[in-house]
Amino acid sequence: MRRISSARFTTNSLLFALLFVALPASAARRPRYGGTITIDLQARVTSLDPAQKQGSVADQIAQDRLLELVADRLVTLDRFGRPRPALAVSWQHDGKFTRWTFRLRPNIKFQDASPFTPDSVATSLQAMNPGWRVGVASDSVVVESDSPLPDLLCVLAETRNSILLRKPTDVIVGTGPFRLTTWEPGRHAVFAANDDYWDGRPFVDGIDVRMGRTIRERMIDLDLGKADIADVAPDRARIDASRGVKISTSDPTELLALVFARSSARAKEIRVRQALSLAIDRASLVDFALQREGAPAEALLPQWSSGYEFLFSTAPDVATARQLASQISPAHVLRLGYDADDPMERMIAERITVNAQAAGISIYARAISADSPGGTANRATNRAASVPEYDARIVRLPMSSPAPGVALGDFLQTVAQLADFDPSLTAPLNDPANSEQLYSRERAVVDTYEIIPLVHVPEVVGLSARVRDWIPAPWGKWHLADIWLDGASQ
Amino acid sequence: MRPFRRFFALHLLLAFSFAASAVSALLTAKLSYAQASTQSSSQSSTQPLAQPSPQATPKLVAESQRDDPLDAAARELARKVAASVGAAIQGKLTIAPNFVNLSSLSSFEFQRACGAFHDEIEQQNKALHAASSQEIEPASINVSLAENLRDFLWIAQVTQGQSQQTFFVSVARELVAQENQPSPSVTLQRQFLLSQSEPILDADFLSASPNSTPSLLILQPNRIALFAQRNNAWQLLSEAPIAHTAPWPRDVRGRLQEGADGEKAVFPGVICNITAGSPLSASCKPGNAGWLFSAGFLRAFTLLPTAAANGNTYTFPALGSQEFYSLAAIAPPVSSGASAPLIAAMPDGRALLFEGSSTAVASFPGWGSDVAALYSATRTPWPLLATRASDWTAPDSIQAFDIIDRQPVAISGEINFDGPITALWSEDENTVLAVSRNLKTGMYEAYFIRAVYNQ
Repeated sequence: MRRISSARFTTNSLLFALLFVALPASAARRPRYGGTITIDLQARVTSLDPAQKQGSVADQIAQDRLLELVADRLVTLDRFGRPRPALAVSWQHDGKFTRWTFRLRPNIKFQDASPFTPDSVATSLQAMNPGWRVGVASDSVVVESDSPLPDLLCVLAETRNSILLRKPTDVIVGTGPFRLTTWEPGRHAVFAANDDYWDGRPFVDGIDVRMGRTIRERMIDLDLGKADIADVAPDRARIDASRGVKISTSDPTELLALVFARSSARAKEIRVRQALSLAIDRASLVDFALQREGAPAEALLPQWSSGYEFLFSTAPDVATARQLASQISPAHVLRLGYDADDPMERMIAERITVNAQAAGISIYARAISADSPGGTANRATNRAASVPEYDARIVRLPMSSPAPGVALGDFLQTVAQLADFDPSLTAPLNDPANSEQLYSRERAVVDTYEIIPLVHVPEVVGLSARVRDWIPAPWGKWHLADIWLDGASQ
Repeated sequence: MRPFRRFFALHLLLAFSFAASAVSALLTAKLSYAQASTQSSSQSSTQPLAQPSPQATPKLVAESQRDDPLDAAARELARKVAASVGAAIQGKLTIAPNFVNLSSLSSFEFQRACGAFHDEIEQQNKALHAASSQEIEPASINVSLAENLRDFLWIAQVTQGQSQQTFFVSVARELVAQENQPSPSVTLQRQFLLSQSEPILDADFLSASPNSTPSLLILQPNRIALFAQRNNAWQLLSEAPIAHTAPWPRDVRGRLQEGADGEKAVFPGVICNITAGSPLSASCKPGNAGWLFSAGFLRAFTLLPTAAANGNTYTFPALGSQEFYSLAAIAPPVSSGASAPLIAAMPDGRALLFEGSSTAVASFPGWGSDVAALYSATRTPWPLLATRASDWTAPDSIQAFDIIDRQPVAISGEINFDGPITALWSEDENTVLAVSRNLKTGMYEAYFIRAVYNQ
């Protein structure tokens, strides 16, 4: 019989002690309460209202991240992209998917103590989705549409469908895990834990967000422990990791693609577009522009989302590209546009021109300012450019949803504003969850060469050593309510 | 997760050819099967084939193979391929499928499912009959097992000349059971209970007569559910909501424990009386009950720990005001009136050993937040089960220790889990309940961990 104070001391226990030495002093598994997370962002968010589009894709993504702190959706997605109840506890739909009824979670209040009612939900959803008819029935909300909405659950899980109260002072109020306490547009935001949050109070007491921070400021803040979370440009990830910064890299969350302008006469000929696609060496784009933090885009959707990206092939074929280019007469000089404020786009554009010229395609890269026709500002506000100053341009398309059907639909809607797409390519799919249908649609789009996928880019984040339980969703969504800080006072 | 980078290449070469007769409507298939990476050829056979019967044959096969979703999906893909080829060909056809695993499943699971595809093709061969003996150009098939966020995807690309067809069959990720890690050879045995997408806080078998159907109570944050075992699976019989006025803490804990007045569910600040009748009911009211951390706890103490109202920690009078995540009594008191040794997992990541005072006598850094004693009526001290240090982003393990000379000594191998342990409760003799959140599937999985003593 063993006794607690036996004199035995085995090799096992010695090994165990050595193992402990190698581990951090504090290694609790269960979360601790307390502390404030400081976040440094390069982006500048000017409004948390999803109806207010932001100036750049990066700003738009940051708006989503901050809005998720304040507001909830009717439905959420688990880390495998499966719909789960949030502000709605259950739902049902008719056989045609044109009428959905959502029963709302009881005993919820907005952060300003306003009652959470079916009317408030309907108002919020209707404002963002004018094509739907959103009504109220008892403790439920009814969404109706003339066209089927088979993927409505995934659409409702998108951040833009957050349930909000819009106040006259441009302040938004939600039901989320944090409430906004300080808001300086484009500069600074402070959030406090919502003690009465229906899904459990967040572990941290607050979040301090500083916007417009340069890469140098962000890295210094991380090094000095003045920031807990900071966004990192993908091409910097390896450098910063080698300096000892804790780096978290998501699966690819963004597609960089080349889109041909509808108005460009020089790109009307499909052989021009096909030749350019065959000339591009995507692996070298990843190596040079992304410093290997990304993946060549064989298709629009990344492998983790669709599961079939490997069926596409975009290996460079310079000989065929040269042959196609030689058949085009007269040969035009193509103008390749990129965002003047985006160094990654510039590097990729320059690399493409080198590839194209090697295949005998005349092309030059030119910067596009945000306010020029077809520029970033026009893209963000969905205003179609009248006469763009380019024949093709690089676009950044963030994954709006992990659901491949929703993400592909959103990609195509965005691109259709610029490119010459046949309307059948943007028509809703009968069954967006059906891989065969999705593959057929994506294949049809890629085969037009109106859009040429270039690279898939991950979201890269630098973390301080005290951040624990950092489990972003594969598509980049942060779960800041679940994060806790090692060393915080319980 | 980066499935595309984890390219487990397993190539099976399956080649068969069809010889057909337009008059007799018989199609002859020649089939050869080999593992391309190690062998270049193996057996071949020739057999008559019948015309495809897309309605009857698949049903028959699906019913016989419906126990394994991945295999069933492989069979469905084989039927799609066979139907396509059967409809397209009018003569001799050579098919040389190339199998590639692009998924995160192991080569063993993949190979087994490829076998199902192969078997189904053979079944279809028997059902086919030919229409022509005319020679046509060969076709090729690439069969891949890939995955996306939600599903595993079987994909077949069939190429005949200039035409290419692509077929998909998907199977939901949660339906595919991951191959378990090899069990440790000694001491700790793991018995899977059930898995579900909702968090599992605790589970308990209901007392039943030997001849009655086993019943299982599952405690979740917002409901309690009663399952009965039927056909080797747990079937939901009844469920009842857990009423609570204030929101639960984010890391809510819950415990099923049997008191003098029946089964109870205790939560931070809430006590529910459970009536396991038909239907199941839960009558809840505010209250701060003691938490029975282990079956042996009441043998050592008259008081029980209580939960902090708004968090995930507990306090216990013998430890003063110190808060902890979990507590285990690892031996009965040595004499009447003496105190029993306790181990508490603290929020700072250390496990502390207390011997009759609120001042710890030893500290063990590096364990996880959950410890539980393996209560035994015949063996003392009671072995301690501890989880591994990290946070909830990492897989976990459970290992048994004895405390000797105030130092932990491992007495078992580790049992590994595909995700963090979210609950660890002592149950009856030599048994602990463990709940793990599987990071691969997102499902909560409940297990009983039983100790088997080698001596």
